[in-house]
Amino acid sequence: MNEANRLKLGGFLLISIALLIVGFVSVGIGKIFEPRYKAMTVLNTSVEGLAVGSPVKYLGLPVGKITAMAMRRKDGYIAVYFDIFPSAVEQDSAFADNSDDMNFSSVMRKKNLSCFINAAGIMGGAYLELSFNDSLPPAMPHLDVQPPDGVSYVPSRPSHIGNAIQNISRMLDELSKVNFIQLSDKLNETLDNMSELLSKSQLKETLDNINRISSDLEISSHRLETALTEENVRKINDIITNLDAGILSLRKIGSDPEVGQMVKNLNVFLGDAVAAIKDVRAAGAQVGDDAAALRLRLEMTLTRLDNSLKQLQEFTQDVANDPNQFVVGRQEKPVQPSSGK
Amino acid sequence: MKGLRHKRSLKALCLQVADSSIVIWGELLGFLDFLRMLFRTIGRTARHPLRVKWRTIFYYMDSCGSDATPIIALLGLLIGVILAFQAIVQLSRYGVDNFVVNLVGTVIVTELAPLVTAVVLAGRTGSSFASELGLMKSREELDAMVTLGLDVGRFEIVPKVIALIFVMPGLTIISDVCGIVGGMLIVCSMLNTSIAEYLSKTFEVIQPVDLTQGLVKSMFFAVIVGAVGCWKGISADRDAQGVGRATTGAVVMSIFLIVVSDAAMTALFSFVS
Repeated sequence: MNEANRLKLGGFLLISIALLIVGFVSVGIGKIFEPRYKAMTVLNTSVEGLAVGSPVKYLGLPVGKITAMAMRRKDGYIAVYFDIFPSAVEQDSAFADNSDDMNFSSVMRKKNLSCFINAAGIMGGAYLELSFNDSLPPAMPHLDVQPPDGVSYVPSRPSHIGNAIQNISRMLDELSKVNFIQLSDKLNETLDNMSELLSKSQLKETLDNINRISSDLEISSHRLETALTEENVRKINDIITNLDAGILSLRKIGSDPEVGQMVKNLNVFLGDAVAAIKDVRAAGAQVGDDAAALRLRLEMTLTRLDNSLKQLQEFTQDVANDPNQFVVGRQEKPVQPSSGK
Repeated sequence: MKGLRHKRSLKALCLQVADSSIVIWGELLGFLDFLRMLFRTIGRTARHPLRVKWRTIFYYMDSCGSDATPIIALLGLLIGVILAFQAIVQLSRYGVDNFVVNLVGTVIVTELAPLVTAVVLAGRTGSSFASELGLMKSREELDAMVTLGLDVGRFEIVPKVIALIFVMPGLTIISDVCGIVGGMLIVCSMLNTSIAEYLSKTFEVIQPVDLTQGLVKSMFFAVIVGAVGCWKGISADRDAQGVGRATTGAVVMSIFLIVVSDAAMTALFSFVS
């Protein structure tokens, strides 16, 4: 029979044993041998989702596990026993007696711990949460609990789930008092009024106007956007800059005394020109009046002339028709009364 | 005519079933008898440890353990890769792909690593034991040992089984580690998880009881592989074909018993925990 390769066998055994030890240490074999703080609580709510082995957490930190759950014969509540790992509690050198029990008990007393059930994820699990007993009172303040030796009692308080369920129940009670039929009638009435109002033509017109105005505004803003393009803005800026420069140069020029004299002369000239224009206007008005009077006299003269010419024309015609009227006189027909037709 | 043929085939079927049952029952009784002999010999060996053939045990530990390490490590790695990949594909549909680490760690340590290791060893070592002993029987070496007053069980069977019991947990833990590493490769690359996060989640989810469960299973499987391989070898026919049949039968029977016992032990551990 061949001999075993001792090097290979030794290496295999060493590696296997090392991996076994590392594996067990990594998964926490040491926790099995460390002492535990034993505690219990009594719950009067459903422990659905909680099971032996469920974690116990303090402010989210896993500190222990549930070891047993049972119904109490005395009152029918659920007694939950759990272990807390000492490694979860920091050792404090300020305490004279640094035993594990004293440290944990002192933490419990100092913080006035209570516990409640909290949901763990969406899969229906739960865990026991230890926390401060803040404003919420304990769930059963007058409960008589005699924990076994070596087991501390942690009072329970209503859980967030329990609170939520209570609040929902309260809301449902309030809702049941509401008269939904009356409410629905009023709602229907309101909706009818609203639909009547909305169907009015005035409102429609107003809405149309508003639409028109808003579309006009949109167009204007779009035009403004188009007008106030970067280039245009740059041009406007250039114009303003040039105007500024022009004004500055004008100011420089304006500070010159000759220019000042010139401006004064210009002012005087402008004043004279304005006066002359006024005189011309007055004279023009006078001329206008005279022209109107002259025109009137002319019109009258022409009218007299016209009349004279007409009379002469009539005389001439009369003479042509009856030359004897110089001897016998003008023969005029007698005036006849009208027949009323 | 059809009816007559139908009756004949039915009769033949019944006869075949009966014959197979008788054969299986006979084999089962023979195996149980072998197991009784094996445990009795192991008990005697434990009472007299100096009489144990340690050199033979070390030889078989080397050939069955350290020589099988590379293949076991590779298979463990690939199993971890496949499991992680499939878990990510399926669990990501429901948005719970952060539980892949939990799945890979727990399943490999409790089930897949011991099972795959045992199946590989059944094919590799169980067949080797069966063929070795079958050949010895065909050459009448076993008869010679009996004639010389040597206990075949103490000299040939017990060292093999003990060697397997010693090496199987080691191979299983190597397979566990490689499986977790294989899962880590896939999870860290597909889910953008850091190695530290993966490892811390894995060690958080694997409990000491899970690791113990896997190692206890591996030791049971070692007994099955060793016992079946040796039994098939010593009960083989004294010809070449008989040795071949014994080798094949050892592998098939080992794998069957491994799976059945795995189911039973998983149920038992679940009940106990």
